[in-house]
Amino acid sequence: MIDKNIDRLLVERFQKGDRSAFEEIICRHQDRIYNICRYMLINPSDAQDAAQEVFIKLYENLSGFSPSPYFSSWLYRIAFNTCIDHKRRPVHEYLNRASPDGDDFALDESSAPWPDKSLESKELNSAIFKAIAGLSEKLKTVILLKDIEGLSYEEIAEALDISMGTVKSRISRAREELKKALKDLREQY
Amino acid sequence: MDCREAQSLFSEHIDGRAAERKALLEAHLKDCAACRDGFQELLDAHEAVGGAYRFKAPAGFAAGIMGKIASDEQTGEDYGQGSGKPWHQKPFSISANLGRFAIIMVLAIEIISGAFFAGKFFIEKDISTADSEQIFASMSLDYLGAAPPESIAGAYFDEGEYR
Repeated sequence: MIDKNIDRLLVERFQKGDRSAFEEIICRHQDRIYNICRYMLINPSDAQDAAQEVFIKLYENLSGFSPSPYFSSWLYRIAFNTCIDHKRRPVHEYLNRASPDGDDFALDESSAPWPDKSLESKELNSAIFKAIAGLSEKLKTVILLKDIEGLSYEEIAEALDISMGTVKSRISRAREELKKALKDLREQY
Repeated sequence: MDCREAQSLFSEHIDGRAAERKALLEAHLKDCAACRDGFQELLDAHEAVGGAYRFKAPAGFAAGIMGKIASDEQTGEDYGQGSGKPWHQKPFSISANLGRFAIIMVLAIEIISGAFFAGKFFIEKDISTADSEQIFASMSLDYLGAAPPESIAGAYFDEGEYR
């Protein structure tokens, strides 16, 4: 979980002119934001561009941010909007990129959480990534926030600006789809 | 509780949000093997997703952003509005854009005066007046007079219907 008090203090420091506070904000959130962008955009270089854009947008707008317990929800909202904008960019910008079926689903082994585990485990993780990445945008955003980032239903409603009823139904639909995708996968092995 | 109602509660039950219907759902799961299996599959998938791989930002990510912000500020890129910080946007100034205004004004005057004089010639003049008859007469071939019949052109017009 994210300690909201630390975020609030860092934002206040930044608003008083302490720029080093912004670097601390990046360090605190960079992995979460990059992870979201990676699941949303799949391609690592797209994810890196988008994550960078998220923090630049944050920098541009942080001075006007009023202290709120929802800093991280707000940051997630910037991240999702940035990823969606990124996807809408003209096709020619993506011509030199690998296809989603290529190496994009390969996981970075050097930082893998299963250094001593079997190949099967790596394949399973890659398959889970593929299953999540394959969800529609609406379902993917809720499942990333709920099951990967561990946000509450209320925080998700705030981050995505949707009602609690919509949060509930999207989480439920996303889990049903993932259950189906992972069941198909299990039958393959 | 029927199977359909039970299934609609699975996801909330995983998150501990089935609240007052929790006891009913658990009673249904105890009795219904199909729902029990379905719920277990959903729970397995949920756990698998919870253990999904977390990607980490590349090395030097934060430093890269701070570097980009610093270089953008040096090259005069504007950030944010109204916080009173030195890198924030300057107010729009007419005097700084005087040259652009002058060009736009000259073009506008040319367009308006052009439309005005065109109106003098083609709208205000009534084509039934003597003045306009002169204008149109000057465009007529008759103005050149008839070609002499002995000339090549005359012989040509004699043959044809042009005369």
